[in-house]
Amino acid sequence: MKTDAILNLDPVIHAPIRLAVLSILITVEQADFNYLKEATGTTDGNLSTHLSKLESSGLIRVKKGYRGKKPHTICSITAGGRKAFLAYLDQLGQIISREKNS
Amino acid sequence: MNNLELQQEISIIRKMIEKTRQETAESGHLFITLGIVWVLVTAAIGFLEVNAFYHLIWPVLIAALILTVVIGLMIGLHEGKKERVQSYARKIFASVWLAVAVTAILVSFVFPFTHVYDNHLVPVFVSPVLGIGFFLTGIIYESKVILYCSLSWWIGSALMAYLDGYARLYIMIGILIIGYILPGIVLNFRYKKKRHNHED
Repeated sequence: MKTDAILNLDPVIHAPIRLAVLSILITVEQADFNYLKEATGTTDGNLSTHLSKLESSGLIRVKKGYRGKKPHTICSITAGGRKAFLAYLDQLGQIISREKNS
Repeated sequence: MNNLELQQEISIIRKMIEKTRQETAESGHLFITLGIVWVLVTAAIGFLEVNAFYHLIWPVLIAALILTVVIGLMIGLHEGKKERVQSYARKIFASVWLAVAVTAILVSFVFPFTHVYDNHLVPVFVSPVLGIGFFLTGIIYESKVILYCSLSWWIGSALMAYLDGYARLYIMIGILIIGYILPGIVLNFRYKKKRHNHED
């Protein structure tokens, strides 16, 4: 039973950086790349890889543009991303309660 | 997944949510600047009335309105450029103040200009409108001080309905300081504190 719950955890969200990005994006309308990089404490390249993975899974939206002359990337969570993140939290809750009961 | 991993996951979620909450604070610069502008404008109108320069009152009010819009746009654009995170709270805050500003323009300029009522009554009618703006600001940014400050607009409006002349002028200046500049200072204090914590 416990194994089933763990196996059901969304592997896209399960990675710490991606979990951190979604935790930020679920609380705000949008956040820029630099903020996400600073908050998650990761590098440009690493964050880009994780954002691409989240975007290709339909969990976030990435808009690339310019702020003045500098490139500016803005990320926001999609409706599907919100649903998946909440489902992930539910599953975490279930695992915790099972851990407590066992 | 063991207990340690679970705790780590929950810790990541909690940390990120808290960090982002700290990022989304309002600087209060707009309220402080516009509060000072409108204290000066109110005092200037009082001076013009006392010295019977009635013909200058409307030009001063229109100049003040233009200045308010320009300052609002300048501060809004400047802070928008620095903004790394756009929160839902800030979106609601901006929408509330847009609605308040449109209503305040109708009540303070359009209605008296079209003789719906005398321009002496503008402070009585515009104060409850601004009170709503500050009351909702207090709710959005969870500040009891701003909530209490917002009461000054409603109490002041009731007092100004009974009093006239200098008394109304002094009350209006008092409300602008307590209900406009003070919430700006409170927001600015919280903004600086959050920024300071964030840098640590």
